[in-house]
Order: sequence, then C-alpha cells, then structure tokens
Amino acid sequence: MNPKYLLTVFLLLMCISLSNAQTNAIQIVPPGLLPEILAVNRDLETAQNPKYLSPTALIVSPDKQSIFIAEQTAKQVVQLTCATNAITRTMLMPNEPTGLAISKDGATLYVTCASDRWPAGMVCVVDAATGKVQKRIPVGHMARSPVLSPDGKTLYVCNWFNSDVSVIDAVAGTETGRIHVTREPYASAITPDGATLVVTNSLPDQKATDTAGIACKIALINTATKTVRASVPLPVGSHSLFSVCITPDGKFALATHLIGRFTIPATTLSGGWIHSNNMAIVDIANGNLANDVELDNTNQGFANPWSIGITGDGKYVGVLHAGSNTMTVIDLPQLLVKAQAGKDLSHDFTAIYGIKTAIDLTTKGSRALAMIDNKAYVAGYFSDSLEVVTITGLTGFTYAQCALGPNKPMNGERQGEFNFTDATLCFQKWQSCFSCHPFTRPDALNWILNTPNSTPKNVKSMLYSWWTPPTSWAGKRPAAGGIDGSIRSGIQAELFLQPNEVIAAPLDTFLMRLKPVTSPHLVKGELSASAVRGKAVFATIGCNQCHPAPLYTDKSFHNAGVVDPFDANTQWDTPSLIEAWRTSPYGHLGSYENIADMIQLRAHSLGAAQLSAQDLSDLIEFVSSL
Amino acid sequence: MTIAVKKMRNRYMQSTQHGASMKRAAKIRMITAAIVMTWFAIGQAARIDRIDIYDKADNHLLFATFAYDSTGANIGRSVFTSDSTFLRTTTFQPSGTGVKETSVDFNNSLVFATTTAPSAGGTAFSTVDQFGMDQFGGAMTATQSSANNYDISQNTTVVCKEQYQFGADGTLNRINILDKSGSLTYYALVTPTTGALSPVGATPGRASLISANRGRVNAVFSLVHSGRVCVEAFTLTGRRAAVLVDKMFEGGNHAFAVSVFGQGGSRFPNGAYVVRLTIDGVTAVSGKMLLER
Repeated sequence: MNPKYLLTVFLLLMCISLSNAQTNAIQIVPPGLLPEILAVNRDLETAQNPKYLSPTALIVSPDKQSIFIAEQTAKQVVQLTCATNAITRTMLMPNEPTGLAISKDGATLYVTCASDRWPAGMVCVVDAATGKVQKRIPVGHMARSPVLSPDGKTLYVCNWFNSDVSVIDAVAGTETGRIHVTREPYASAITPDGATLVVTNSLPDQKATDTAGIACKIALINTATKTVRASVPLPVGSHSLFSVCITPDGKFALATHLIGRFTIPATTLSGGWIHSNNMAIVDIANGNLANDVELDNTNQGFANPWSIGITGDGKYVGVLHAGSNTMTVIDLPQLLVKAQAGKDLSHDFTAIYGIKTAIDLTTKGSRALAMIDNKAYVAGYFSDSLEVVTITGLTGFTYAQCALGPNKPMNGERQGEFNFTDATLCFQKWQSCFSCHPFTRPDALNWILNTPNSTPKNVKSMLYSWWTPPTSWAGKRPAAGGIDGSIRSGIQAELFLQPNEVIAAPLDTFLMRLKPVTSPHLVKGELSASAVRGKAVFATIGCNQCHPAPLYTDKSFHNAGVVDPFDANTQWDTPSLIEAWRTSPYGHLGSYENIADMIQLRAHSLGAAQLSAQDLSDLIEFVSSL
Repeated sequence: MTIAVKKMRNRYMQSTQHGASMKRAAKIRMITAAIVMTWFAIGQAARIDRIDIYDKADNHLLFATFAYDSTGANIGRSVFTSDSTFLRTTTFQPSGTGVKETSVDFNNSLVFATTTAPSAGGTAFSTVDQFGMDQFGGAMTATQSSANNYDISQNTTVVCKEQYQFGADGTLNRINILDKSGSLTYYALVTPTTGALSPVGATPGRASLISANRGRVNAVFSLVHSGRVCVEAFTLTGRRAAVLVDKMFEGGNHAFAVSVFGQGGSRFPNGAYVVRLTIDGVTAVSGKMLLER
C-alpha cells in the first residue's frame, strides 16, 4: 500500500473519529446537563425568570466606610461604599448567603450560606481585601445569623432546622461543638463582654392546645460553658422571632416578634385583634422578660417586624416592618425606663405613644437593617434597593435611596411571593399572609377562622397545598385556587380585602410552585439506614394507604383518632407528610407535639401498636426524612 | 494528536530512507497506530466519567457522574453537591425524535424532566417539574453558533452561551457557560473515562465509579429492583485480589465508599488494579484503580 495513501486514509479516519467524538461528547451535555443545573438552582436568567438580588443581611465594615450586603437569590455578597452609595465589589458565593459577620480588623468576612434546595449549611471565610472565598466550614442545616465573639476567636451560627447553634473556632476554621436550643433558631446577638449569646427561636415547641403557655422562647447561652443558662418565654401566642440586638450597655436584648390572639375568633383586625406586632425586652443578667411592647397604633398595624438596630449614640432603636414597609423609631432610654416600670406593656397600644414614630419606606420587603452612627441603612428584599434614613430625633428624618441593580419587573412567582408578605394589602396593615404562615409554613398555633361554625384548627403548611385539595382540615375550602379556594377566601377573611385577580393570580403561581426543603434527617441527601428500614415498615403496616407517595396523602378524609372537644366532626383531611419534620405540632388540633405521638395514636395507625421499639424508631426516621 | 501525527510522519520519512523492509515495517506500525489512535479518540471522548461545575470565582458547586450501557451510550447521570451530597439521578429515554431525561431524588420521586428534540437550527428543550410546570418559563433552544460554540435561546433571545473546549487528542475537557454578553459565569471541567467500560448485556441497574484510587472506591448506583451488588478488585493479569462489597441492596439509588485496606488489601502490592461493579452478576461499570501507600 502506498504510504501516502495510507497516511491520507489515516488522517481521514482521525477526522471522522474526532468529529464523532465531539458529537458524542456534546450529546451528553447541551442542552441537558448544564441548563438543568442552572435552571434548578434558578441561576439561569431568562426573560420569564429574571435573576433577582433579594438583599437579606447587612454588615458594616469596622471603619464604617462600607457595607457588605448579602444578596440571597443572586448568591453573592456585594460591598457598598457609603460615601458614594455605589457597589464597588461583587463576591460570588457557592450558595445563597443568609447572614454576615466581620472581624474587628475588617480583614475577614464570614458568610453563612444555605438554600432551600441545598440546605447543607456552610460558613464561607472571605478575604475582605480580595473578595475570595478562602475556606468553607461545614455547619448545620440552613445555617444563618453568624455572630463573632468580641475577641474574634469564636464564631456562632444558628442552624435553623437542626435547632442548634454551631460553635466554630474562628482561628482554626473548624466547628468545635453544637449547643441545642428550643426550635428553629433564626437570629442571634452577643453581649459586648462576650459572656452571653442571645438566640431567638422562631417557633413555639409546644402543643397548640396548650393555650395557656404556647409561645416562642429566647435562649441565653453562657459562652464560657456553652450551655443554655436561661430559656425566656415570651407572651402567649408569640412567634416569628426574626431579629435580636443588644443594648450598648449589654443589659437588655431587644427581639422582634408577633403575638397571635389565637384564642378568639379571627373576626376583625383593629386593635391587634388577630395579630399585634411587638418587641420583647429581655433582662440578660436576670434571664427573664423585662417587658414586651406593642409597636402598632390602635388603628394601624405595622406588620411583620423583622430587623432591629440601635443608632451609634444609643439614643434610638429602629425596627423594620417587612410587611408594612415601615420603620418604627423609638427613644431607647425612655423605652427602657417604661419597660422596667413593672407594668405589662405587651397589649398596651398607648404605652410608647410619644416616644416612638413610624416612617414609611420606599423599600419593599424591608428585612435587613444596619446602623452607621445615626444613619439607618435599610435593604428591600423585593425591591432590590437600599434606603438610607438619617435619624436625628423622632421627627425630621432625611432619606436617600439607591438601587442595588437594574430594575427587573417581578414575574408571577416573585409577585406572588411579595403579595404573600405584603401587609399593605391588608386592612390597616395589621398582617400579611406571612403572619400566620411564616415562609408559607405553619406558625404552630390553632386559629378560629372567620368562617361560620369555626372551631380551633391547627395552621396547615401551604407546601403542596395547591396539589393536595382540600386545603382545610374540614374541607370547607375545597382547593387552593378558584373562586371558593383558600387563596381568595383568605384574602377576604384574613386580610379583609375584596379579592381581585391582580393580587390573587400571582399568589396562585407562587403557591403552586412551592418546593420542599430537604430534610435535615437525610444523610448526604439519602435516606439513612434507619429510614430505609422505616420505609419498609411504612408499607408493611399500611401507612401508605392514606399517605401514598409521592406527596404522601390520599387527599381524602379519615378519622385519625384525634379527640376534639370543639368539633363534632370525626373525619379530617389527610395532610401530606412531606416536610413533616418541620410542621409540629400534629393533628388538626395540633395536640401532638411529635411524630411518635401521632404515629402511636391507636386509631391513627393500628399496626403501630405491634411495632418493636426499633421498628417504631425506624418508621419515625423515615417520616422525618420526607 | 498533532504530536502523534508528526511522529508518524517522521517515521514515514525515515522508512523511505531505509529500504523496502523498513518501509513494510513502517506501514505495519502506521496501520497499528492508526487503529489504536482512532479507538483512543472515540473511546476517550465519547465517555465522560465526571463533570465538575465551578462558578467564575472557582467555587466548586456540583459534580455529575455518568453511566453507560453496553454499547457505550450515555444512559444517565447522577448529580451531587460539592460535599458529595446526592441530589438526583437522571436517566434517558427515547421520546419521539428526541430524548426525555427523567430526574429522580433519593426516594425515586420525580424532581423534573427535560425533553430534547431536534428543531429548526438546533435542539429544543424544556424542563418541567413533577407537576408538569415549566422551569424556564418557556421552551429553550440550543443552537450551534460556530465551531464548539452554542447559543441557548428563548423566544429567539439568547439567554446564555456554551463554549466547548477540546484537548489536543480531541477529548472534551472544559465547558464554559457564558452570559448573553459573553462573560464567563460558570465552567465545567470534564474528567474523561478512567478505564475501559465493558458492560455486558442489559443490566438491572446503572452504576458509576465516582473515583477509584489509592485503594479506595466511591461508587453510586441505582437498581431497578433489589439485586446483588458485588464490587471486586482484580490484578491486571485477571486474578481477583479482593471482594470489596458483596451484598443485596433494595431497588433505588445507593452510594458507598469502600477501601481495600479493610478487605485484606494490605497484602497487595502497590500497582494498578481493575475494579468491577456487578449487579446480579452483570458488569455495570469497571475502572482502573491505582493502589499506592
């Protein structure tokens, strides 16, 4: 064979093989793999799915020259130079940033990252000079609210759904232990001497039928012993504790929360009939509640109090209301005097009249606040903007605004999420959908709704409610959507607003698209060995008859054996078991604190009585993993 | 590839200077080389063991491993977060003129499904969740804009771009994801196959070796129904050196990490071994493992 011919054949073969090889390789990837990953993580920006910023946390640099802003859905932290209100640096994070802390020298930024889709938490240690992530420290489920000890040696992080706090050696960059707290720690702050870490638990951990005592608690942690030295209960009905700060003298912790008046029928709104929006004042040294104050006016609510901060001179405390988009400014020294006068102020609208004022903000979903001297920097989660309010007293405020990025119109899902949290839709702005359904999940309370013959019922999760009609325990609301559905009925009965499609239709979109948070009981995203065994038990004793996969409900009514002294009905809607790990208490009356109690209820699951302790444990583990 | 061709050309030039016998020898060498290199190009590029996804700040976000059938066709992948937390497994099924990719979670519950099909000028695709709801807000199209460059468009508007980079041997080794202006947003590093995959016949499941090195094997596999899974290590001469796993698994997705050092592996000298994972006696995946202490 002529070598020239052979060489030609060879080169042709190579070209063909290379062409085939590239074709084969490419078939693996576009459009399948990468758009899939980007879409699922919502990182692919399309006309219909714009990439929003969603600023959710702020921290001021020690030199007060700049502010770092955690932009949650954009998965980035940006640095804003205060002198110009301009973004001067963008730092990408591996997951959604949920909280920020900074070292005293300003050299190191600590960013907690986690998301509903990837809830395994981490602390990203960022070099503030370069903006590079230097180290990632694994922590707990849905980690948030990092707090650095005054000596800079220890970092504390709330693991929201592990119900504990990570203790991290900030020098070595390793987690050294966990401190268990009550339920769903959401925010934390540390005293100036570093002796006490204050942690707010965002939900109560009791039976909803415990009407005399159900409330959230604030944990005071002794940082020397790493133990909870006091667990301070707030007024009955308190929930949704989303922020805490310490007074400059280190004596008091101020924490925002709601109080649900769940024992009375929800027939009106004025005067905080259903919800009032409050602030707790905790005496740190004595480990008790010094007082609790109403932030609302008699004829106007300031819904969903969220972030809280104190001006540099210690004269004023600012409280953001994410639902009504207002900021309450209170004279702090006078507030503390009133708080220590011995009179319960938690239901007294007049108590702080004259020492407070409320101002409207341009930001939407105002969740994050940082103070530099007498300037309050407010971030709007839904407006992707910042508002700077100069506080010189209870009047005479000055304002400046800046956008954090290009204005992107809300798509249906985002608009629905905003509507869900927007209390300006509500009569007198007392509450939003979010008030009873924080993050669309239950507030753990029983409510008597504004419907005929209503009796107490435990709040249901809205996750998959669109797909699992009926949406109410007794079936009074047949579905989520539609003219008789929960969404439009809720707008009318709970917001006291005539439903209209401009408001309701985006809510439809938002609620039908809700996705579960991966269970903290999974091991590396998989069922544990115990849960695998429990899955078999689940089928063996017939749990799957009423709770069939994939949503673990047959969408039918059954008698689960829950004794109800208020209602003659015995048949109740079967709830989905997805996210059962976070929806305590259980049953239509919320009369069972944990899954074990519910499973072992004889009329609920006859087979459970015959289970060995191991099988029962495995079954609980499986249900907790869904 | 270029270097190899130059070497062959040199050999050809040399052979013309050293008589007929040398020419014949050169021809034989050349034919052999052509066959080997053609196989190498196809085999290496057509099979990818793993893709690691990074953002433009070099944060490692995700990785995906791939599974192949007896013909070497890619039949699925599994996606993990950077800390090896399992996210989902995707399998491919023919659907009309295209392919439907179905992704399930740890509990075999549908996460989402992507359908791809040829369309005018490119490949159309859409991803829906378990309720059939579109995840992109509309169908997308991947169109080749130039050699190794693709535009991902929605309603004729480019929303991002993909750029494929190949090594000198033709192996795909990097994919850049660019925003619509062309700036890098993410990139993927491609790990070609680490060993010859030789599945035989239809398997009752799929498996991928995430890594097999230094005496440790990380594997993921999914079973259509319960089955016996066996992982063995062989010397290069075919002698079985160790049985790393031999047990029954339930249907569904599984993952494990195992070390030969817990299986009497300390008796074995350093060197290369072949690791094979069989499902009910059928080889699902195999690869080479370097044992070094």
